[in-house]
Amino acid sequence: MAKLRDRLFIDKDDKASYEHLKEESMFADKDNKDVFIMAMVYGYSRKESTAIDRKHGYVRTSYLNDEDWALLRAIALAEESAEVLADSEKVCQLCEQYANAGIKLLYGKIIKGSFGSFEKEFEKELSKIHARVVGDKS
Amino acid sequence: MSDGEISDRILTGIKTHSKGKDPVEKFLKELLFEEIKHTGKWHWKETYERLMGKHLKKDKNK
Amino acid sequence: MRIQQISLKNYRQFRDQTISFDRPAKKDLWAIVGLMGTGKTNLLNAIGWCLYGDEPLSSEKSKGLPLLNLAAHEEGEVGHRQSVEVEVVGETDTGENVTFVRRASYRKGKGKSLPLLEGVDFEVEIPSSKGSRLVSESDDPPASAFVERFVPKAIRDHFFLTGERLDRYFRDTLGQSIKHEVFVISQIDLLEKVHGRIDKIISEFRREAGQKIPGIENTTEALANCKKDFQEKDKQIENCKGQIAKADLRIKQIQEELTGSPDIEKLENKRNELLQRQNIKEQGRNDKLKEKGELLFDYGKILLSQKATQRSLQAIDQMRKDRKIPPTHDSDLLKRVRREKFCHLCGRPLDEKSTQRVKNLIDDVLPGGASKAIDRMEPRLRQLTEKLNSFGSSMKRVTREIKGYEDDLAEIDKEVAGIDSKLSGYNRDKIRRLHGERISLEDTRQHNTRLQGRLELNKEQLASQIKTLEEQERKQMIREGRHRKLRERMDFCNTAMNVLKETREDIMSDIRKKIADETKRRFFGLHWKKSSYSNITIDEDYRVDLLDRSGLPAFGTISQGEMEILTLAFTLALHEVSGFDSPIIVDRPLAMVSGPPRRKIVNVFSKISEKKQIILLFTPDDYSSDISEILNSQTSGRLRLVMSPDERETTAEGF
Repeated sequence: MAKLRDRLFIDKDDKASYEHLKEESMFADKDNKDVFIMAMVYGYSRKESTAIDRKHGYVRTSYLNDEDWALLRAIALAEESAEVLADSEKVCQLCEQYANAGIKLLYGKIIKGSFGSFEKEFEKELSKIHARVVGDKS
Repeated sequence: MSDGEISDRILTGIKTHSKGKDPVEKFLKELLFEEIKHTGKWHWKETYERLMGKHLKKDKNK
Repeated sequence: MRIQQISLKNYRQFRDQTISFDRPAKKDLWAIVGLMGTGKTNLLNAIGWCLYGDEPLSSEKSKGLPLLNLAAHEEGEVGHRQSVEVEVVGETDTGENVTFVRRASYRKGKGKSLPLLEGVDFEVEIPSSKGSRLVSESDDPPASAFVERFVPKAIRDHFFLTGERLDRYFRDTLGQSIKHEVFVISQIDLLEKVHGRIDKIISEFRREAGQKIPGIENTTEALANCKKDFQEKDKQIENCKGQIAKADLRIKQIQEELTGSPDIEKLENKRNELLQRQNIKEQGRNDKLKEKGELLFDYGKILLSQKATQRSLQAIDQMRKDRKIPPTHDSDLLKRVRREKFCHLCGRPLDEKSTQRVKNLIDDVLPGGASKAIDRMEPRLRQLTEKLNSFGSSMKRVTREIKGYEDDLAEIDKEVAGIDSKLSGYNRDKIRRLHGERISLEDTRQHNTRLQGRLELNKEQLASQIKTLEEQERKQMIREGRHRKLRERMDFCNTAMNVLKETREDIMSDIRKKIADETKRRFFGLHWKKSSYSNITIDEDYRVDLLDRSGLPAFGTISQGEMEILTLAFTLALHEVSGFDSPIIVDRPLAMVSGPPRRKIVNVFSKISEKKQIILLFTPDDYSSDISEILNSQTSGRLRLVMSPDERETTAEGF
């Protein structure tokens, strides 16, 4: 089994985008780990992932809790075979790529919308997804 | 009220409250007439004492 | 007395004018009409100047200017003397004439300088057994004493009136001023003067007694101190009453000013309260918005990764079904067992079948790390899936709560805007100041009322002490038979003072009652809406109150026309009670009245003129067609004041 690396990476050019994201009221008191995971799940939900150009260490893996790892591994398992779960490096890479795509999408949403509209749009999107999930269940 | 005299109201009042004491009644009426006669500064004390003497004598003689 | 004639020579606009008011058969009602500046007010002033030596209605500016007519002044040569003369001929009830004449002598100065006043004299021609007699100011009694017999100066405000005064009389006049006027009319001031003088004489007797009779000195001194104290208390009580009356008057004026304006302090307090509530609500809303953000974040992670979660859980279930996930296993241990062909668990060597089984385990099942990862992630993923069920209700709840706060904030905003709207356009500082002043005046009133109460009590105690000391003094004097004469004089004076005191109290009570009754009778006789009001009261400080049908004070709601009627009724009551039957002259009686009450007021004057001379002065606007319609048939005479083209002379013409 590969040794777990000590951090997760983002693209160096996206550092400013992450900071911008933190300015939204929803992320007011959130840390790097939180915004990274949000970018990751957002990229996954849009089925977009891109490789990082210039790596910049952003999140210490020691800060990830069980719930965080569950999400990272769920994404890896959903896309690959179960054996990927034994390879933490692979899991991290996959998630980084989704996050890399996700942050660009999120930042674009902030830029396009009017002041204060990000949260409203985000809420609408979540409601649609929830409606779909509930519909699928019934 | 007629021109320039003491009002009947005052004269009647003095008569009533004098309770039959004529000298007092007359004394007061004379004083009042003297007062309306003199509007500015005048030697009132002499007049008052003179009238007092006059009516007091009558009071004693009764 | 009525005015028979007024003659003016060189008095202000009047060069040489005689106005006659011959005694009419029926109504003694006269109308004089003139534009502003033609001399209406100066006609009143002329009467005032003739009788009292001053002009009651002149402005501060014109008071300092000479009375001499301009044209007359200009015609004269330098050093030349000219006189101003006003003659008022009064006619008594018995038909005799009394003529009052005042003359002012002026000398013309150089250039454009004002004429110099050299002297004023005043004469009265009165009927006598020999026909008539001329009295001047140097005579005893002087000429001015005869004016006092007809229209005492102290009460002339009840004979020479303006429309404004008729309207504002009770608002602007202290009850104490009215009380003083009543005292003068009823000659109570005369009784008080005599009382005071006799008291001074008694004080001298006391001093004499103190010197002549041993032992009595202490009593005399104590009595003198008590009386002094008593008088002091009296003065203080009058002062309190004065303060109370002034405070009442000013409070009334403030109430009038504040009518219609908002209670600033109350509204501002309410506003502050609302702003405080607003802060609390805003804080609550912000907390809820933060909570919503937290929910969106937490549920966002779950929803956006929901597909991955679902697929992962499905894959795990399948792997479990396929037995690819052993309950627990150690892949390193299995590799060692295969290598050594020996099981460290049961302690036996592996046969062919067991070796193959271990190989399958190693080849077919998940590596240990993966299954460990699944062991840890599976319960978390199930938890997240479970949590999704509460997304809808949680979001609804927090959204509803935020809306609740926003509705409350909107309501508060509306209320604050309402208050701001009420306050806008008002001079808040002024209103606040007036409210503050009113509170301060109410405090003053209360303080003086209490003080008055205490002083009255002290006064009663002093009166009792004085009585005791007088009795003591009297007994001491009786014991000392030698000074009988002194005692007799003191007794006589004391008796006289008691008579005066009792007479005074009787008259005051009687007059007040008569004035109230007469005012009531005349007001309800003259008023056109009798049922609106029930009573008129006058308290011992001569504060007049008009009561409505419910018995409540109605000064706040009385109209201007009705106020004029009330003032007239009161004035007529004063005339009746005082016994002074003088004319009533009103400058612009309709100045403060508009609409239908104008006709009613004029009809009231017409009715009064059946028994008393009424002279009314109007501007042409006041004397409009609705008024002339009434007065043209009711007046005994009408005059128009016409100014010359050069505006230096006014003449009166009948119309």
